[in-house]
Amino acid sequence: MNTREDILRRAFKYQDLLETYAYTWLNDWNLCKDAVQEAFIHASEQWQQIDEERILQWLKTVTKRRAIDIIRKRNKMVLREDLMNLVDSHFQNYLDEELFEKNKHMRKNLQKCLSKLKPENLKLILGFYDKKLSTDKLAEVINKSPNAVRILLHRTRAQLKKCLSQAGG
Amino acid sequence: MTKYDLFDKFLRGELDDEETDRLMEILEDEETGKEFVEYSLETKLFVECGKKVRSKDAAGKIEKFKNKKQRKSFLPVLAVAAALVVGFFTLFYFNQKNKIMLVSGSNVKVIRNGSEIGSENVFKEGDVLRTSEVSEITFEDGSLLKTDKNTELKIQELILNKVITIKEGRVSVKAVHQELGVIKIITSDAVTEVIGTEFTVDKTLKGTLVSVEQGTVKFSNDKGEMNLTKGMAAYADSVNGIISLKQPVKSKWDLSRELLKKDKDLLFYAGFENGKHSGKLLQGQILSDSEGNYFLNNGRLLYENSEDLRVGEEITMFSWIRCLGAGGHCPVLTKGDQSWRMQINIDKPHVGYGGNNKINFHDAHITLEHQKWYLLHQVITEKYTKMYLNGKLISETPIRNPELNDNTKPIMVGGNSEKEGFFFPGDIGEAGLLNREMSPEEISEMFEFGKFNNLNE
Repeated sequence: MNTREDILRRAFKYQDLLETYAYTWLNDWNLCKDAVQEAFIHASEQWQQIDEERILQWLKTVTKRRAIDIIRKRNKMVLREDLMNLVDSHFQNYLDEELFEKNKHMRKNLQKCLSKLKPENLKLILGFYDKKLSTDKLAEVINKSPNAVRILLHRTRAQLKKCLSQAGG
Repeated sequence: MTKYDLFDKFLRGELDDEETDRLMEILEDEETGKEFVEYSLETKLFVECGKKVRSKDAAGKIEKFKNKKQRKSFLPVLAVAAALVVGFFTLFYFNQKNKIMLVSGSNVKVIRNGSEIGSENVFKEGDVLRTSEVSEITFEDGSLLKTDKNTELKIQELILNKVITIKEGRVSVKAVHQELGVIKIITSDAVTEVIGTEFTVDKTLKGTLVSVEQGTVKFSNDKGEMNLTKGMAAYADSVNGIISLKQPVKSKWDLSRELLKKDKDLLFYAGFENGKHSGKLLQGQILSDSEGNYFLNNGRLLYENSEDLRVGEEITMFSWIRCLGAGGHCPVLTKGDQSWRMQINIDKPHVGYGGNNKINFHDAHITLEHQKWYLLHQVITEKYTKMYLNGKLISETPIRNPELNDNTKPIMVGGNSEKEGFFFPGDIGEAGLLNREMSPEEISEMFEFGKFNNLNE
C-alpha cells in the first residue's frame, strides 16, 4: 500500500519533465516552477486518488490546468490554439518514463559537459535559453553579427551533443 | 530556418503566423514531435545545469579575489613582470571580450582596459568605476546602485547576474526583482547576494559591512554565512568571519561602536546605548532622538576607578559633539587637569596635554557651528598633536616630550575632575580613548561609519 510520502517521492522525480511541459504553455521558467509546485501540493492533498501506474499522466494533467490558471490570472498571451493542441499531444505521447530515464542520465553528463565549455559560450547558452536574450542582443554582447551568434549557438549545442554522446548520455 | 530554429522560437514565444504554420506542418510528423519534446527537455537541462556550473564558478570567485590580493602583497615584483608579459594578451582579450551595454550613470570615471576614458554613461563588463562624488548607476532593469564618493568598483558581470566587486567605498543597492539572475556584491571579505531587495555594502579598511533596508540577502564568506532581512546588519572580516550587529541599525553611532569595540587599543569608551552608560552621572541626563542616544547639554559623567589609567606615548581621543553655547576651555573628555584633555575653546577644537604643572594647549583655527554634530579626533604623540574634524585633518602642531600620565584624577566626559565649574555647553554623542595614534584613513572611516544613515549629507 502506497503512503502519501511514496506518492510524493515519485511525483518529485518528474519535476524536470513537468516544468518542461509547463514551459510550452508559460514561456517562463519561474512560472513553470510555480505551476509544478501547485501540482505537487494538489498531489499531496489528493494522493489517495492517484493511481501509482498513471502518476505522471495525472501530474501532467494537473500541471497543464495550473499553467492555464496562471495564464488567465496574468493575462498572458498564448500561441495559437491549434499549435498548442498539437504540441500538447506530443507531450502527452512522449513525455513518459522512457524520456525520464534518458533525461536522468543526460542530466548527470550534461553538467560535466557544460563545465567544459568556454565561459563565454556558457554565457551565450544561458543568455539565450535562460535569460531569453534575443540573438540581436547577444550579438551586441559579443560584438558579432546576429547570424554569427546563431552559428555560435549551433556549434556550442553541437559541441555539447558530441560531449554527451562521448559520455554515453 | 531549420526546424531547431522554429523549436527555439516556439519556446521563446517568438513565432509569427507564417512560422507557426511552418512549425505545425513539421510537427504533424510523429518523429519530429518526439524530437521536439526531447529538444524542449534538453533546453530545460541547459538552463538548470548551466546555472549550477555558473554558481560553482561564482563560489570560487571570492577565493580567487583573495588569492589575487595575496599574490599581489607577497609577490609584487613577479606581479609586475607577469603583467608586462601578459599585457599584450590581456589587451587583446579585452578587445575581444564580450561586452554589453546595460547600465547608465553619472559622476563616474571609467577605466576601461587600463585607461581612463573619462565620464561615460554606458558601461561594459570589465570596467572599473571610480567616483569622486555620490553617484548613481542605473541598470537596464531599473536596479539602482548608489555609490558614496571615493568608491572604486569593478563590473565583473552584467549579462545574467550582476556581479560587482568593491575595492573600497560604499555601494547601496536597490534591486529590482528579476525572474532570473541575481545581484552579487563581492569584497575581499564576503559575498553579498540578493534577488530583489535594498541593501548597502561598505568595504572598510578591515572588513565589510552590510545593512539591509528591504528584503533578504545572503551574506557569506569562507567562514560562514548568514541570511539578513530588513533592519539587520552584519560585518565580515578575515579574523572574525561573519558577525551579526546589534539590530536594528538606526543610530549613526551604532556601527562605529561595534567596530571600535573590537580594537585592542581601546582604553576607554563612553557610549550612551539605550540611555545607559557605564560611568557615574554627576549631572545632566541621557536623551535619545532619531540620530541616537546622547549626553545632554551641561552633563558630567565620571568614570570611577579610572584614576590609575596609564597610556603609552601616543593616544587618540575622539568624540561626537554638538555645541549649543560658547565658553572657554569647555571639557569634552579629560583626565584631570594635567594629563590629556579634549576641549572646545570659544567654539574652536582645543587639545591640551601637560605634566609638571606645565599645561600646553593647541587651538585649531576652525570655528564650530552651533546646533551641528561634529566628529572630533585629537591625536597626541611625542612629536605632534593633530586634530581632525569630520575625518579631515584641520591642525598639526609640533610638540616635545609631553607628559601624558602625570595625574591620578579620574576620567570625565563633559567635565574636568579638577575643575568643578567647567562643563561642555552642548551634547556629546560618544567619547573614547585609544592607546595609539589612529591613522588618517581610520579616522576618515570612523566618520564615514558615523554618518552611516546619512549618505547624502
